[in-house]
Order: sequence, then structure tokens, then C-alpha cells
Amino acid sequence: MFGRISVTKKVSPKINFVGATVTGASHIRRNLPNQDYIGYYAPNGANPPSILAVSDGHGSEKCFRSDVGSMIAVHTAIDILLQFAENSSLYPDPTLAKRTADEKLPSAIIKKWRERVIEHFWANGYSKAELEVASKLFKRPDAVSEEEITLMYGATLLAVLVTDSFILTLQLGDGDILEISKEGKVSYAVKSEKILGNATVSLCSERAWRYFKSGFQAISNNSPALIMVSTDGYSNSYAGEEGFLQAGKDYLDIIKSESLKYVDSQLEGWLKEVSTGGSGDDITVGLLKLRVK
Amino acid sequence: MAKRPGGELATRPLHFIWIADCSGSMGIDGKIQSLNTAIREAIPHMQHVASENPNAEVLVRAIKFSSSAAWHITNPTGVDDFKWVDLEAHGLTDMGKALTMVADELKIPPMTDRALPPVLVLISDGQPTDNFEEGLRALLEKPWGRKAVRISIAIGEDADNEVLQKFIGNSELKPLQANNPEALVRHIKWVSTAVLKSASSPASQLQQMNEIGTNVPIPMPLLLPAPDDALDVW
Repeated sequence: MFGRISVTKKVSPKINFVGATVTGASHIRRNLPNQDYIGYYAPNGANPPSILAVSDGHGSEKCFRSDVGSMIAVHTAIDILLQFAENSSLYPDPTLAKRTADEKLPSAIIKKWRERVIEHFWANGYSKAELEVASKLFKRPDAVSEEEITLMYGATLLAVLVTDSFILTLQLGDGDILEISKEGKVSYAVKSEKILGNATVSLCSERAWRYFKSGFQAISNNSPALIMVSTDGYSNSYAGEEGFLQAGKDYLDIIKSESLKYVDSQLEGWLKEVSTGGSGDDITVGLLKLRVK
Repeated sequence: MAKRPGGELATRPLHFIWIADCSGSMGIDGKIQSLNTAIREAIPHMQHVASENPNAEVLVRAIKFSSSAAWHITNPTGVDDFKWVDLEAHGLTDMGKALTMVADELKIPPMTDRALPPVLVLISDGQPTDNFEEGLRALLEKPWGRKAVRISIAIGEDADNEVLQKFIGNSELKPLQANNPEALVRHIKWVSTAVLKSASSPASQLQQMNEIGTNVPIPMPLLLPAPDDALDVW
């Protein structure tokens, strides 16, 4: 029997990245290090998989190694997501990939992060300043518990994985992941509930895996043209939410009118301007430009 | 050359509210004069702290309570423009009413979700004469009321420390005791500087977990006993 066979053409994304992180104006004044960290990994160049991860260390007195915590968070997220991407052919059904991501990834990331920060702690003794703080905070600074150690390294995490078939977004704690459509419409990839007053959930929160939020979509011609990942110092610098969302659209417009390379050349300067005129916090922005063919 | 992406930038507002008892008993032994002097003298110190962190916009105002309550300095005023207007003492101690009125101002709007935690300083020499519990409940029902740094100063031995402690809402942080003008000046200055500086920081805090239960880490020297003052008069 003969009939018309319809063939669905598989679409495939090309991904390009630019990103920058700046030390906050208030941290510069107080001689404190940048608590944010950003990492991007794309083993196949502009072809998937691509992984972008951003983390914001808490920077409070109790979290005196949170700059290291954020670095470890980014590397851990990239490692875990790369492994997931490499195994994604095991999940030809996107629904199965999503379910696996939701069920397995948060706990895998938390577990690996904790192992790594605990290892880092025991391999790197207290500095004089850290010992002073630890002596105030802990009964036995020389015999701290694993919970006390993870607190020292506390940080948030935002991550995006783009494969040839889906886009996965993950968020734990404050910060934002925006999607900008080809037409310039801006929306949150993950809408995380804002906690007032600089409070956040964290990789060091008890049962932190419960607080992960995720987004998942199959790659299609309607996939976002741009994904913007930023730490909360960025959104907190704008007078209102509209001003922050406008940034997402503006980046896409500038990429179209100028180039991605141009954005790359200007991004750090823009972020310094925003920190100085806005929140004073560290600011990190990562942009993924997607082309789906 | 493209301009910076995004809309208008803004520093983060930090609302600082004096909640002052000006009941009749505050007119005895110079307490109200000492309070007026202490707050006025603290202003340059607040301005100095604010200048060290220009990314926090410190906005100051004051509410007074005696028989009922009223805004004493109504509009949130930039600290560089803030001028103290002397309080006068008369009437009862309607503390609950004052807290209810503060609660109204901590709604969103007029507050925004990008503000820094407000600092509320309750100063009293006596016992509330209205429904304090209702006022405190109204305050703590507001998310910004719960997230606020709440400090209290007890003027004299007749102050109701139980009520002042309830306002703070944290058993590890006690009401500051001022039994003479020097102690009052010291406590007012500490609130205006160390606490303000801490609240101005953009550092994140782990949700529901910090050094002593408040949303903002209070500088440790607060927990040390104040030196004995030579002459307690209140």
C-alpha cells in the first residue's frame, strides 16, 4: 500500500555565548571580592550541547567562603548537566528527559556540590580572619559539622542546558533567567518567588533540592532567540521590573543592529555602570544567542 | 554606539523609622529633651554612614505616640535633608496605634519588593495604654514588618521591657536600656550607625537563618553589656 509519508524535519540550534561578571560598587568600596561566578561550556563550538551556569555567593559574614562556593557551584552544574546531556539520547521522549531532569538533577547537583565544598574546606585551612569569624560562630571551629561547612560556602545557582532537542533551565535561589523571543517578547524561563529583604534559598539550605525550580521546552522554530541569565544584583538595580525586562529585549535588539561581538566588547562596562548607579551589588550576566534551523 | 540596555537605574530604598513615645511621663526629668538632643546629634553620623554606601537610599521619618499616634515627620526624607523637629510630651502611651500606622506604610505599595530591610526603632519609657498586641500583630502581618530590623530602647526603669522585647521578636536581642542621657545618646548613635550600616549591605542572607534571628546581622558589640554609667537618673 502506498500513501503520502510526512517527514518532520528535525530542527537544530546553533548557540553563541557572551557573558561578564563585575565586582559590585559596594564591594569595591569595602575591598571585598566578587561573590558571583559564571561558566560556559560548549564542547562542540556553536553546536549543542551548551551549558551556561551562574552562581551568586551570599557574601555575608557567616558565608565567608561563598566566593569559592559559587565557583564550585558553577563547575558542578556544568559537570552534572554535561553528563545529563551525554545521556540524553537515552530519553528520546522529551517528557522522559524532563521527568528525569526534575527528579534526578537537583539532588545530584546538591550532593556533588556538598562533597566538593567539604573537600575544599579540609584541604584549605582557615585564614587568620576566617578563624576569628569561625571562633565566634562555631563552638568548635576545628571540628565543624558538614552543615556548618556548607554554610560557609553558601551560594545560589542558575543554569541553562541546550541540547539538539531541548532547553532545560534550573534555578535555586535569587537571580533571573529570561527568554526573549525572535519578536522581542520577554518572559521568565523560571519564575522564582522573590523573597523580600535580600533573603534567598541556597545550595546550603536544608533539603535544598526541594527549592529548585525548572523550565523545559523542546527545540522548535518558536524557541527563544536569546536567553539571559543574571544574578539579583542586576534586577535590583532597575527602578522597576519593566526596566529590567527591557534589558532583555534591548540586548536582542543590539545584537541584531550591531553584533554579538559588539555586546561582548561593551558588556563589562555596562554592568559596572549598572552596579554603580543601582544596587551596588556584584552583577553577572550571561547571554545565549540561539538560531534554530 | 548603543546605549546601555534596560530602563532607569535606581539605588535601593532603606526606610528608617523612629517610633517615639511622647507621653506625659517623658516630660519628667528631661527625658524628652534628651531624646530630641540624641536624635538630632545622631543625624550627622547617619549621614556619614549613608555616604559610605551610596547604593542604599536612606529615607528617614518619625511617628510619635501619646494619646493616639501621629506622623511627626511624615514623608520619607533623604538623610542628607533630614532635620529633626522637637517632640513635646503630654498624654497617654498609645503604642499599639503607632505600630498599626507604621504597618500601613510597610504595605507593598508604597514599599517595593526591591527595598532593603527597613529599620524600626521603638523608644518608650512606660507601658502601652492601648491595644499593643493588636498593633504588633498588624505590623507582623506585613511581609516588610516581619523582615524589618526592629530595635527598641527603654528609657528609665518604668519602661515595659516585656512589650519592647515582643516588638523586637528575637530573644537573643534585648531592648537597649537608657537610664541617663549619656546612655540614650550612645544607644541612639549605635542604632543610627552600626545597625544602619548593616542594613545597607546588599549581602544575601540565607532565608530564615542568620546570626541572631533577625533578617539582618546585628553587629556583635550590641550583645556585650554596656559600661555602667555613673549617674542613672531615670
